Amino acid sequence: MTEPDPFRENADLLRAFEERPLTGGMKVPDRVLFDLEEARKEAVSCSRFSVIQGGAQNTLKREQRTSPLLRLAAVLALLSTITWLLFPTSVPTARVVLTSPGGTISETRPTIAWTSKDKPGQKYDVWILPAEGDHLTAPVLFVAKNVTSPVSFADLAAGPGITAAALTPGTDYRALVCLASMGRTAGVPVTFTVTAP
Amino acid sequence: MRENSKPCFIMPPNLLSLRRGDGPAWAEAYSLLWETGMMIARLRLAGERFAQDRQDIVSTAIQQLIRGLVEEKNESYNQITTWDDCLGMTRHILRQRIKDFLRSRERSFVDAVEELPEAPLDFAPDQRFRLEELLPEVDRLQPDPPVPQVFRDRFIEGWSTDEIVERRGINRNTLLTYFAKGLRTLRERLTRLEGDLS
Repeated sequence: MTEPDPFRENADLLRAFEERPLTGGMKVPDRVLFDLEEARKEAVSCSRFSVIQGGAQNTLKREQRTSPLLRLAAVLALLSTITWLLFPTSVPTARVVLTSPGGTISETRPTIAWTSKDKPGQKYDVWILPAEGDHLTAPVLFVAKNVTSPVSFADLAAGPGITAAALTPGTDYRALVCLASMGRTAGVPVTFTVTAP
Repeated sequence: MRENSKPCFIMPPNLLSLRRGDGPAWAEAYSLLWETGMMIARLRLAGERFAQDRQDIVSTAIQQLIRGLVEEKNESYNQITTWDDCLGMTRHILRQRIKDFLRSRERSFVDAVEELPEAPLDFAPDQRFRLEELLPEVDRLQPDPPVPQVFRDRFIEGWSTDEIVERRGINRNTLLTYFAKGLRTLRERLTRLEGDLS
């Protein structure tokens, strides 16, 4: 059983005493007046829309003057974000032309070579992939990471589960050269065929 | 008592001027906000020993109102459209601050007067009579001698229920019964006075 609570039961009565009409005759202590005035001045200085009382004319605060510029900047930032979201920038791609291998070759351990329009010293990742399948997910036959042209076949490492030390004659392959550390998306695969001896 | 309780009409300060941080408008408002705050503080934080705390708490509450109203950074302050809203916000801030103060002093919250509900009033006694002025009425109408004394302990001296139990050496439930009787008497008396005046 809960305890009787006369104060809560008569809360409306007590609240009425708290909110009786004002007389306007109560003097505020001087030290309190000082604190209140300090708070008012501080609030005025922090107010976004206040005016500074100075000189013959009221001067708009800098915040108020710059407010349109800030709004414009905010709108531009918003538009930029929307543009970026709707039209994502293209992924950087290696600007290379594969010179070897290409078309049909007879070597089973060809050298991979390319010319580049990328910045000097740019490193690349090189893959030899099967001719079929998506080049992003096709199994890796041979790979060399962080290299520059040309790359001899001996510098290529065999992919997972690959035991062959050379390409198989009579088979189609793809060579892919991409910007280093950008994955297989930053380049275009080129198909070539190793002819039978 | 009626002569002392003539209605007093106060011209409220201009809210737009207050929002602009206008000095003269706020100077006018300070005394009214101070009176508003002290009404609550004296009832909920009564007693000479809290005199300094009352001033500090009311002052801090009004400063909070000033910042909120002038800086316009808070949505709840932006919804203030009348002087009565200002007074209501002051009361709300003050009640919270008094509650925090009492909590920091680890006062018992069994005393419900320390956390009266925020629900709007459904009873409108004649508010021109002060509680202190009605205490003699309680004394006159109530035959039990401790009632006026415990009312004075609670509402003038500011002692909690537990403190009065300890000081007066009376049973807690008996004390709560005294309060219930006294408040019922006050309510009846106020209702009768209101009827006489109307």
